Amino acid sequence: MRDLAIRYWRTLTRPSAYYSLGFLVVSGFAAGVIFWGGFNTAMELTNTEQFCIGCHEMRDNVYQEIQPTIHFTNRSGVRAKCSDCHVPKDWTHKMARKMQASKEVWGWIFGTIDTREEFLAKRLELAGREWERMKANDSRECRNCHEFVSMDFTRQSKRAADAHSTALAARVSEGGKTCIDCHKGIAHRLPDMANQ
Amino acid sequence: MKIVLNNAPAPATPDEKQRKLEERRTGIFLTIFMAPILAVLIVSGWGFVVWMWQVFVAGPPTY
Repeated sequence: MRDLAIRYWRTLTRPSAYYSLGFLVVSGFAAGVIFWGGFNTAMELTNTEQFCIGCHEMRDNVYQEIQPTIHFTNRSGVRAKCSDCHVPKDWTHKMARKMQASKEVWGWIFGTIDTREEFLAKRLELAGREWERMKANDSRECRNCHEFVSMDFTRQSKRAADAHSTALAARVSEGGKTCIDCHKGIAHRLPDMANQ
Repeated sequence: MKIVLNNAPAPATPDEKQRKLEERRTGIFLTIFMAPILAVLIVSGWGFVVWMWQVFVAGPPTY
């Protein structure tokens, strides 16, 4: 066994005698292209609605709740699917979020949210995490579609125009507000905050 | 002029045949298993490090 390992280590670390440099480089490059394509395809797959509602935790709770909202169906046929709001677009932060999802796999294995009651009991904690995240990134996921500079205040209700032209116009660091500060519970129902 | 795609010598002795076999196995192992597994490990390791950084130091991502 040890001899075998040593022999293959030698093969690995010395130039090939029987395969040309051109063949090795080109085949390695091709394999790399195929791998990276496959990697990105798999990554895209984990961003689909079908993947998200593959587990009952999502399918029976948050997915049911988004369906009556305007982010699911609307006159123009544009849908904000799960990953549009819950997965960062930036590569590094996307990878970090995908790794964070390992905790969701953990919860799935140990049945942390097996019933509607368990979900409702955890809802404030889960929603709080998303609120905190969207506050930290200045509601980036909202702004991927909704741009402040494109807002026509004359076509908003007076209450909305008043809020958007003042609080939303200022930077958060200068006492302004970000989308999620007011628009909580727009895609899923609000947690029960009676005891907060 | 005749273009030869592979100028490597053909293995003659049993030892050389064995070496060619080992080179082929090593190459296939590297491209099919080792490199993809390493790549996935490095990417997920990086993701994990960033996640832990967010949990303990930096707070939620700003991106």
